[in-house]
Amino acid sequence: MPLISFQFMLFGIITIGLYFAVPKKRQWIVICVANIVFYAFSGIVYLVYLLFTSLVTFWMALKLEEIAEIGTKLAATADSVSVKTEVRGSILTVRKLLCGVAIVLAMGPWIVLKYTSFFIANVNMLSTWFHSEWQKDTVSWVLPLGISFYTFHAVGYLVDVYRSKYKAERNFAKYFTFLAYFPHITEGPFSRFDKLGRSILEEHSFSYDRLCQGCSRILWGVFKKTVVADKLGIAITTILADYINYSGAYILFAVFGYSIRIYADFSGYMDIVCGFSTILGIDLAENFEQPYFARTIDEFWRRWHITLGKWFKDYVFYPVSMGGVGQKMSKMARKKWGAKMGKLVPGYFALIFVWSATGIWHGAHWSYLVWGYLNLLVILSTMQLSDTYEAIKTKLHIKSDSWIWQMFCILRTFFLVCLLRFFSVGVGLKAFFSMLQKVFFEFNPEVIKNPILLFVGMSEAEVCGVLIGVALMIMVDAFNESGKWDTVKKKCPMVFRNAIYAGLILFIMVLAGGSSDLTGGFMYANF
Amino acid sequence: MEQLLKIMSEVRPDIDFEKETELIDADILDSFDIIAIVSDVNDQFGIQINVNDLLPENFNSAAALYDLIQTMLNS
Repeated sequence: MPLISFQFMLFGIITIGLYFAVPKKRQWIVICVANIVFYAFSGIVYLVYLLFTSLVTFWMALKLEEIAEIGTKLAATADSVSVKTEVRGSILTVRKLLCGVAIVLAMGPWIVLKYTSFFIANVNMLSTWFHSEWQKDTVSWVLPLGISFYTFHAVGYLVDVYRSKYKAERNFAKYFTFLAYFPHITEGPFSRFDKLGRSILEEHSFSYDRLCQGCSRILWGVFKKTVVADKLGIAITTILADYINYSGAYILFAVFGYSIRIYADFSGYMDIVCGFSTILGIDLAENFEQPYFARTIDEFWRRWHITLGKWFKDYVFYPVSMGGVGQKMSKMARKKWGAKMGKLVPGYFALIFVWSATGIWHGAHWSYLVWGYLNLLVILSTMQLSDTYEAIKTKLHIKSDSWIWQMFCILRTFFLVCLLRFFSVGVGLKAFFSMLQKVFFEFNPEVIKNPILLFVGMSEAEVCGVLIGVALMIMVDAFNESGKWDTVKKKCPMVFRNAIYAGLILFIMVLAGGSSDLTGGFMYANF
Repeated sequence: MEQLLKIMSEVRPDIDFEKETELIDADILDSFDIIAIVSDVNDQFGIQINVNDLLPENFNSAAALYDLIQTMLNS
């Protein structure tokens, strides 16, 4: 069911109505049914995958908890310290094994459906290199809605129960309600059961304030998606699909535009689902914190898709860096290169895993892996050369807190982010080098004199809508960055506020109404 | 406690660990600092702080981390 559609609007209104009409104890059941209806619209058959992952992780989490309880009882009855240690060791091994099996089972469908084709293509390539005639046709399976997201939610839940962070849920329907929560199943945000799960299961009263807050946020999200992302998408898709026939200026515009489009698209989605959840009284985690105001790439990734970053930090970065290999590397580095390297090496080692996973999570293609590793390279070089940068800044008498330096850092980071996105916008490394070559050697600066030409395939009204939309997005982010957004909103007279809402609605109606782009197809849903 | 403060100060000499109580909540320590501190604490105190113990409440202050170390030493 497209999120921006009459269908969803009707579905949303009915869900909200029923949610507050039923006894509070039964509110979560309304969400559970709504989840099934929403998911079934993407194809009833895909519910099987969702149910499989839910059942496996639900049951395995219970088993993990049961074994831990047995271990605690056995250890308590042991008559010596050595027996106690032995019991604890055995229980830990069993739990580790069970958790590993559960993770493989939970991730199995996602890995098979998303990466089989990539695997076959690589085997075919190797086969060609070694002059073998063995070739296999690649497959093109349709991914079940939100499989990349609910799989990670489920694995996070399993690991948290394994780590005894919280108790496993004993009611399958309640667990399923969390895992399949329709506002977050398509594109996140990644949520933890102890926060979102508990929040869904709590009782909520209707609040007029929350209704207003939620609706205004949904409106802002729809505006960003339909007026900025979708319209900008017309020019970007046209240029990138036929980049061979466009000069470097167009390609550079498309790559910069892509960064704005993906932000408007993804954050627009977040605004819609967070707004919807706000009305229900359920708080979703925020996924963005003015990412294009970041001063470094590392900081950018702490502000962009925040919940995915946190997921990787908790379930990949820490286990790898604090594991046996990571700690051994730390000690070795400390002996050889001193304390600073001893501190950095295990983290560097873990970041290789994090960025491999981030790259491949975004797409089953080598260009995404290269994109991930390039991000890693920039982050590592920034960390490794931090002392050198500081020395240069001191020598040049640059004050870190001066607004010129801050502005330079922001623009530099934005430029770097766009440059790195060259890899993810093209459909391969060849495309990347070809586009880069055009930017440097076939730039055609003439087109800059009449920049409207860059907005290929867009009407003047659409260009106007995009420019106003981008200006508004920058303004809102700037206020948020300075921490003044809430004050601005409170001080804004009601008449002015209503005029803004009316303006946003007008833009949506004029520019998005009747458009074929009104499909609600969000970019991150493809990841 | 002195030994712990020494370990923490070696990793981040710019922080007053005796006073700070929001090391994690206020993003004062980053993940690299945490790994370095845990690695040194494990070595010097002969304990095994693992991923399961990486909770904000255990790392928000030197005192909280000291409590965790004491609990592990006593168990």
